[in-house]
Amino acid sequence: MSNQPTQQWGSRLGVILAVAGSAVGLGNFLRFPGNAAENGGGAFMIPYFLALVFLGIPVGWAEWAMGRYGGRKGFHSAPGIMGIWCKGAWGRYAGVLGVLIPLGVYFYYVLIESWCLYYFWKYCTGGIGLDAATDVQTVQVPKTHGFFGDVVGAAEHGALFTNGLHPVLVAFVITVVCNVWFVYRGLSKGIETVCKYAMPVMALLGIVILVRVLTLGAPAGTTGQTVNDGLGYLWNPNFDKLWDFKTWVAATGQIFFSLSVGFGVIINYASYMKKKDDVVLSGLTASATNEFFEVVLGGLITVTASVVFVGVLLTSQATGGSMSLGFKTLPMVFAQMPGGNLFGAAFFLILFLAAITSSLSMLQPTKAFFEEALGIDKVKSTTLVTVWGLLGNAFVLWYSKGLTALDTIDFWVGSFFIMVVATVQIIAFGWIFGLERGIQEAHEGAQLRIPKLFQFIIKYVSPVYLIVVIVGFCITNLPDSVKADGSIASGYWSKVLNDADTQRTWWFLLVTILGLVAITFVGARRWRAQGLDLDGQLPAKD
Amino acid sequence: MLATLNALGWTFMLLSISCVSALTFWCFKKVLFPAHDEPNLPPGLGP
Repeated sequence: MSNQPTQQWGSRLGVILAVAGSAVGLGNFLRFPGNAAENGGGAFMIPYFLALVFLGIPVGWAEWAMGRYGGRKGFHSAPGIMGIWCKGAWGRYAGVLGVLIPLGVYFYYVLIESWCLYYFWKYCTGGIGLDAATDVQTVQVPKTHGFFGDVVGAAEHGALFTNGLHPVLVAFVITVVCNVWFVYRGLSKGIETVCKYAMPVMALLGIVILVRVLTLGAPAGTTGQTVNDGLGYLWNPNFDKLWDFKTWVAATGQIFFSLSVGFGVIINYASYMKKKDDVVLSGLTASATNEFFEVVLGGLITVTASVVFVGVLLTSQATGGSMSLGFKTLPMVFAQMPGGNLFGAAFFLILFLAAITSSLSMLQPTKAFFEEALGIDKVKSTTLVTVWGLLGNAFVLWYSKGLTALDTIDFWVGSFFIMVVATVQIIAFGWIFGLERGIQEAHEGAQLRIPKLFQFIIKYVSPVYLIVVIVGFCITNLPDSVKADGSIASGYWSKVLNDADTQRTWWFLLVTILGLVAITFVGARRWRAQGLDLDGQLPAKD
Repeated sequence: MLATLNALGWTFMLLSISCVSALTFWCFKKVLFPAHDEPNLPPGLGP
């Protein structure tokens, strides 16, 4: 343990908004609608809600209960807490992934956050230079894509640093300073305060933009397509897609990416709660808030506006699991929309707020891990997490060609490892710690009881569901596949074996993992010397 | 594949949005206005 006084949340609403703020991010506004449109529209909601009920909510409840229990035993990091629940060192080292995920995702997420800030600034100062009168396909598409490629430095490695520093680097510095400052201020004064203001502002701006989009009709001089066409593109169900396993994998991936379960964040946040705080209702409320932003705001705004102004073809080219809809397509929408710069600025402000409430949650678990494993104070832990984060940011910023580094970290850390951690957590909760004890722990101070049906789901359905999805995820993403035009698309496995950029990123990740494992080893020695119950053999203090 | 929102699309959209909105509203109602146990009434009062 460090010598710092134990931190606590200021209020129950504060912790709910902080967790919801962590969950509500770019994925809600950009990734969800693209995924839904590409994977069966309305029919996508069937596997999506099944994944929410069978995985998202149960794993979330388990993680909240694990975190609070670990906090009562004096631990606030995933390695410490998972060691208790797994009753052994293997759980502690599996818990290293619960630190790697927030830290690794922070490596690239803060860059995307700075793109949002940069776009926001551009829209506040006149837009990105698109002329609505020019042809969309021949002029606006190349210009928008070119602008985005320039901002991310996609042309070559180090592109942002050659020919003078790119202005997006200023946005990056501001973003990093904001993140570090709020994390340094601590849970209640920093993260909780930001989320208490940012979440309502986001909801309000989102509803204003939603009303504007739904009242667009069919604006003159555009594609002639209406709001009904945009909604039809996203929501009309295509039941054939339900027979495609990829749809189920995409729906599950979306739930995990979106809810922040298995991410290492909830377990850390919940560890600062008191024994009588309600983790069942808090967990459900945070999940429901995230779903509101995702389904209601994310599901109605972006794709609908995009279809109305630039048509189905361009919209469909930008959908899928990527964020390109926001940066490559929506600028053309704002160029043609009356008051487009104002709505563009508002939209990118929402994205920035959504992103910063998420990125703050990525630094906090790592900071807490450094404090308790190394016994250092908050100044040193903040410095260490800042330096480590900057090294990762610098790596992704420099190796920007084709966004391979970003893409590789996103795939392995931001998708694959999350499912692995969630699997370990649900097995630890239902089988190792014991379902009855786990449920009893979750029910401490709870207004709501976890229904018996969910107890069955946690024990049997969720672990099997997760294992099937992980196998499916590997089958659909790792091997090479044949595209519709007959060409071969490289799977992630062949990229690891053959692509130098991917290999370099893997080496970087490996060094990061080894560093975190070494710190966990040092921490375990300290915790043992302090007489802490790091293998979960004793009951928790009240 | 342009298609105006059809009846099934409406159904999926409205069902999804109303379920999510109702759950969010219900949760926040519980969080902001927690139910308290009935107070112990003095003898002679109450039914």
